[in-house]
Amino acid sequence: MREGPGPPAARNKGARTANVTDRFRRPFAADYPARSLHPGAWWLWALGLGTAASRSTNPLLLGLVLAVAGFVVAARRSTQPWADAYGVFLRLGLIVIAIRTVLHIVFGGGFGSTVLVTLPQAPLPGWASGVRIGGPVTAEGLVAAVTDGLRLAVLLACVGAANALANPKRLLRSLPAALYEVSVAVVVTLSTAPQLITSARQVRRARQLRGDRARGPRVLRTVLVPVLQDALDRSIALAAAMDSRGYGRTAGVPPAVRRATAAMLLAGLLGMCIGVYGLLDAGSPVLIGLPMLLLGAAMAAGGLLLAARRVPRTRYRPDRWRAREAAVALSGLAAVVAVLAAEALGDTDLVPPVAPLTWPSLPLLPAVGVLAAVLPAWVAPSPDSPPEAAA
Amino acid sequence: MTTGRRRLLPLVLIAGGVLAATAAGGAVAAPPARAAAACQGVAVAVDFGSLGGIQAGCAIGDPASGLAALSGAGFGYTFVPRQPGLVCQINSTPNPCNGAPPDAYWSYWHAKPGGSWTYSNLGAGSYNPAPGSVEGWSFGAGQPPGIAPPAAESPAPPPPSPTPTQPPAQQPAPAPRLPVPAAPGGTTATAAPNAAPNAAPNAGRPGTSSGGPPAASPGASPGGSAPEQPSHGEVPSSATGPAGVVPLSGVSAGQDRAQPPAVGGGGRALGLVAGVALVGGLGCAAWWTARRRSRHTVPPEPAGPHDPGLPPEPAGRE
Repeated sequence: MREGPGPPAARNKGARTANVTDRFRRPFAADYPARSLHPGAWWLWALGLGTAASRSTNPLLLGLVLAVAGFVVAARRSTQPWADAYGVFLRLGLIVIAIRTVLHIVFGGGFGSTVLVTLPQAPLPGWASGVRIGGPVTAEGLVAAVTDGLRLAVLLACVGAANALANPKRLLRSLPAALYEVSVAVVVTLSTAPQLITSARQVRRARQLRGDRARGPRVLRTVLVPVLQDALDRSIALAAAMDSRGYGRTAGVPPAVRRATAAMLLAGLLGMCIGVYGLLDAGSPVLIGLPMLLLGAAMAAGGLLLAARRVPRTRYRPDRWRAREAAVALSGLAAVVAVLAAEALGDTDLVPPVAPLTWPSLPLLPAVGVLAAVLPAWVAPSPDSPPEAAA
Repeated sequence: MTTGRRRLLPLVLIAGGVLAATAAGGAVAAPPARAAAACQGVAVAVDFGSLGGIQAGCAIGDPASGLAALSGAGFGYTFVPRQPGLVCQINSTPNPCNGAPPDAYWSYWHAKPGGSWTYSNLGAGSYNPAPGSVEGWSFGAGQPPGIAPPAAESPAPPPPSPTPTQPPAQQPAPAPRLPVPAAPGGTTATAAPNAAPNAAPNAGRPGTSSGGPPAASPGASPGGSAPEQPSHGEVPSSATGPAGVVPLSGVSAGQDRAQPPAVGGGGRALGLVAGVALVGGLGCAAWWTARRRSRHTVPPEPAGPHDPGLPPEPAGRE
């Protein structure tokens, strides 16, 4: 139902050859109906909201995060295929809550004194005494499980908001040059699903216009074959286009530098692994922790920089980081800062006690911070508006 | 994973110093022998480690879980935020809750009277202590309580002739404290908690009490100050004495057992109403915006028939 805003005139050119030239011309013409925000800004905003949500089990605050993200998505999402992601992630969140609740009821931890219902308890051997199946279900435990599931669901919804708002392909364009082969592969992968959907839609519509009303397994054959053929054609066209643009060529880098690059990357990643382990394990020597992590990160960064020399590359119309991007990212940061500050101040409303049960109350400071994250609904450029001159 | 963690961690509870535990235990612990004579139910020993001495209490009757025994013995507890089931504070110790790191947490122990402590392999919310057994809580890195398990007895079967008119100030015979609802008239103030729901208000049911009397600061009345005849002479003497809590060795009736902030108050109600209104309003605004935008941007289904071989959507080429 939602289609890209390509010019209809260009689409109706039937001939294959015309399509290829059309494909090259298109980015210059109508692909950018409005300036789109840097995808990194959307991701920072959404991760900020998600981090804020992950620190709380207050259903009011979690609901506020959900509403803020939903409002911004409703106001600023485009008509691209991925713009429906928010609803998909909301449904995923409901599944998460359901699973969390069922798991609690079946393997529930025992605490709380308000027993709602007592399920039959499966007898387990002594070596499994830490596990309980069935048994009493308490209101306290149920509330704790549902709010915990809600926390995860809201976190997912924030990721869904970022998916709905940020253009994944443009995000990949912003990756460092050293990761370019990886990003090419990811772009091709990411393009597959929307393209298959579009292709299937077109085939179905073509069938309908021809009066083909077949149902059942025969549909599979009449749809699948053209769709697969279409996918193959596209792959070949894409490969040709990439080759003609010089993808896959590498600059002549001496073997010594190449080996040094690989060694630095490997050592850097290893150092980061050891550093993280040292940080998390309280028993290991101090030197293993933060210093090792920093050293590893520095080596990995150096390796990436060296590796980037292998791929001299220009960016066509790079996404620029401007005031709007900064404002969107900062509004997400405000939510995290407010929640962390409230946590440091000892705000008990962030995590309402479950035993005994209490009514939640909206904590003021985190609510203000989360509300600040609704600003992108006005700050970000509207996908409906005409393109900015500077875009 | 949360579930898994919750299973292991409740075994463990909070706070600070480990070193002083043994010394403090030796100094202030009530003589186990005397305690043995006192508790008709589950004896509970709480070792505050370096943050206080050792206190002991008695949960009369048959508490349903380790947590119920803990609160039945007059100790209040709170969980680690976002990890319900993992005890963080007992009697507000440590304050503030430290999140129960591996070297400063409340470990949970069982023992037979006169036996030795064994680390619980069940959470305190799942374990059902038998009457006559002993529960131990020790703050630190998982070392057992610095006190020999005080003895406890299974409640004896009800003697045939309880003395219903016995004034509460009298030394309560074991019989009235039995969980067995055998003596309808014998509701002296020492009835078991689960047999006297309408007893003194602060004898509240485990886990649900809210707003108990302010706590004596932990360690202020360590076990060493126990009366000679623990509890029996004076504690239940007034109507304010918690009916189900018979101090075993210095656990005073005034222990705070409810750390959660007092419920109620205009601010919290306002916070609830404002939160619901805000979330609802913003949600409606989002729904309305989505509707308005979807009406404005009519799905641009192109008019012409589509050639399946058409190139991908423009966005696919970015």
